[in-house]
Amino acid sequence: MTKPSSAHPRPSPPTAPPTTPTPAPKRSFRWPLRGIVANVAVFLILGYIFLAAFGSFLVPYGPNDVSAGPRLSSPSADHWLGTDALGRDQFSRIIAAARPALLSATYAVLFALLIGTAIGIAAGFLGRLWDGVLSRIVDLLFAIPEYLLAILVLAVMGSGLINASLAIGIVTIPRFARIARGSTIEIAQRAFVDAARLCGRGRLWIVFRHILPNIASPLVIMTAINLSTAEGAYAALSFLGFGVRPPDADYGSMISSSQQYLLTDPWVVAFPSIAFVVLVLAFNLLGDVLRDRLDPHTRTAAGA
Amino acid sequence: MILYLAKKLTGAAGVLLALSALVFFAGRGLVPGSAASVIAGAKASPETIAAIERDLGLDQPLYQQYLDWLWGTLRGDFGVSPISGQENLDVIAQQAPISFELALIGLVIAVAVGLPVGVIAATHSGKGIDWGIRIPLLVVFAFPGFVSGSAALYVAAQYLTNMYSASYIPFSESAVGNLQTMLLPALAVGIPTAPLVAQMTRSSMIEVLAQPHITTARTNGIAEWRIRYVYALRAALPPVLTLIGFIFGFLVGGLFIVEEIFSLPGLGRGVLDSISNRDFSQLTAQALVIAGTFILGNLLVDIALPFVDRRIIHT
Repeated sequence: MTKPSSAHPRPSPPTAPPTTPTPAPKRSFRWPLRGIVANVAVFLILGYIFLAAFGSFLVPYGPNDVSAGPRLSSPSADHWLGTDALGRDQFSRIIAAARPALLSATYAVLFALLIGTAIGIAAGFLGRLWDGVLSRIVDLLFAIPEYLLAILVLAVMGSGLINASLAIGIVTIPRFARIARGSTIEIAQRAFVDAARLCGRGRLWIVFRHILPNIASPLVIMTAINLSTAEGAYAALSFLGFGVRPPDADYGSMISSSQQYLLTDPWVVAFPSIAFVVLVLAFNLLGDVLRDRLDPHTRTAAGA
Repeated sequence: MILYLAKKLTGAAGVLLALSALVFFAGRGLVPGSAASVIAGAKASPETIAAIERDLGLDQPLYQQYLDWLWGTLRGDFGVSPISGQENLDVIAQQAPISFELALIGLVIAVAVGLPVGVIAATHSGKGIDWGIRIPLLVVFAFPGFVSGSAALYVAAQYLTNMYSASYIPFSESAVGNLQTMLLPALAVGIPTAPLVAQMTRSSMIEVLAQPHITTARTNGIAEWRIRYVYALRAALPPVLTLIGFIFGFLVGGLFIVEEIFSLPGLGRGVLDSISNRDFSQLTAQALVIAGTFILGNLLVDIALPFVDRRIIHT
C-alpha cells in the first residue's frame, strides 16, 4: 500500500481500467480516501453538493430574475460575478446550475451502472448464447461515436434534464458492461464459485454473494471516472441546447448563450466556465485517487 | 494474417449494417407522426399529405422503406432531402472534408503532444518530473471543448488578429488561409485530447519497462536510450494505437461543439442543423457518414496492429 502522501493523480481516460486479480471474498473494505489530493476533491464535491441542495436559500437574487441588475455589468459589490446579457445575476445562476450538473451526472451514471452491470454479469456468467447476443449489442453501442449517439437519442426523445441524463446513461452502458463481463468471467472460474455450485446454491445466490462483491472494486472506479465524463457530456449537450429548458441555469447553456459577448465581456463566459471546470476537475481527481487506491494493477505498476 | 483481416472486416461490415438500421430508425423517430405533414406545412389538407407520402414512399411499411433506403445507399445514392431539396451527397461532400481535416489535425496534435509527454512521465515514474507532468494533464483534461474553444477564440481575437481569420476559407481557395482558420479549432480539439494519449502511453510504458525482457536487455548492456525508445516504446504502442482509433470517435464528438464555436460548416453543425430543421433524410446520411468513419478508423487501427505486434494475430 502506498503512503497517503503519494497519491498519484492522472488524467482519467474513458477507457476501462484493467480488470484485476480480485482479492479473496469478504476482504474488509478499507476507506480508500486519504491524502491531500483526495481531501481537496472530496471537499470541493461536498461544496457543490451543498450548493445544489441549499443554493436556492443562499442566492442573493433569483437566478432567472431578468432585471436583477444592469445588463452585462462587470463584477461589483452588488453583483459579485457581474450580470449576463439579460441582466441576470451571474453568481446566483452559477449556484443554481450546480443542481442540474450534479443530478444529470448522478442519474446518468446510476442508470449505466445498473443496466451495464446487469448486462455484463448476465453475459459473463450465463455465457454461450447470452454472451454472444449481449456482447454484440454492447459492441454495437460502442461502435458509435458517443456524442452522435447521445444527440440522436435526444433528437428523438426531446431535450431536458432527464432525457439528457438518459442519453448519457445509454452511451455509458457499454463501459460498465465490458468491465462487469470481464471481471465476472474471471471470478466465475474461481474455486469458491464451483464450491457454491456444488453445494446446490442457485445462480442468483452466487451472483449476489460471490460475483457482485468481487467485481465491486473495478465498478467503483468506473463509477467515479464516469461521473466526471458524464458531467462533461451533460455540459456539452446543454451547450448545444439539449439541457434544461431556458430560462433555467445550466453551465453549458450559460456559456453558449454568452458566447457572442466573449470578446467584449469575457467574464460572462469565464465565470461559468471556471465553476464548471473546477467541478469536473474535482471528480477527475476523485476518480484518479480511487483508481490508484482500489486497483492493485496500477498500484504495482506505479511502484515499479 | 488473412484470417485475422477477414474476421475484422466482416466484423466491421456487420456493425455498419446494424448501425445503418439504428441510424435510419433514429432519423424516422426525429419526426413524430408523419414526415409528410412537416413538409406540407401545418395547414395542408389530408389529401396533399397523402400525396406527399406516396411520393416519398412514406406510405410503405417501415421495413420496406429501410430496405429501399439501404439498397440506395449501398449503390452510393444517398437520396434527396425532401426538406431542403438538396442532394444529401452534395451536402456531405461539402461538410465532411471540413470535419475530417479538423479531426485529423486535432489527432496529430493530440499524439504529437501526448506521446512524448507520456514517455517522459513513464521513464521518470514516481519522480518530480512525473508529478510535474501529470497534474497539468489532469487540469487540461478537465477543460471541455467549449471552454478550451472559447479561450482559444478569445486569445486569437485579442492577440493574434493577423494570424486568425474568423470566417471559414476552403482549402481550394487558399491553402494558407484554410490552415489559418483550422489551426485554432484543431488546437481546441487536440490539446484536451492529448492527456488521454499521454495517460495511456505512460501506463503502457511503465508496464513494459517492468517486464523481464527489459531487465535482460539491461544486463546485456544495451544502451538505456535504446531500451527505452526502441524496445519499450515499440512494445508499449499497441494499446496506444487502439486508443487512437477510439479517440477519432472522441474527436468527432468534440467537433459538434468546436464547429459551433468557430462557425465551421462541418458535419457536426450539419447534424445539429438537420435536427432543428427536422430533416430526417439528411440527418440519416450525415449520421451514417460520421459513424462509418469512426468504424473505418477503428478498422484501420486493427489492420495496423499486427505490424506493430505480431502476437495480436494469434489472440
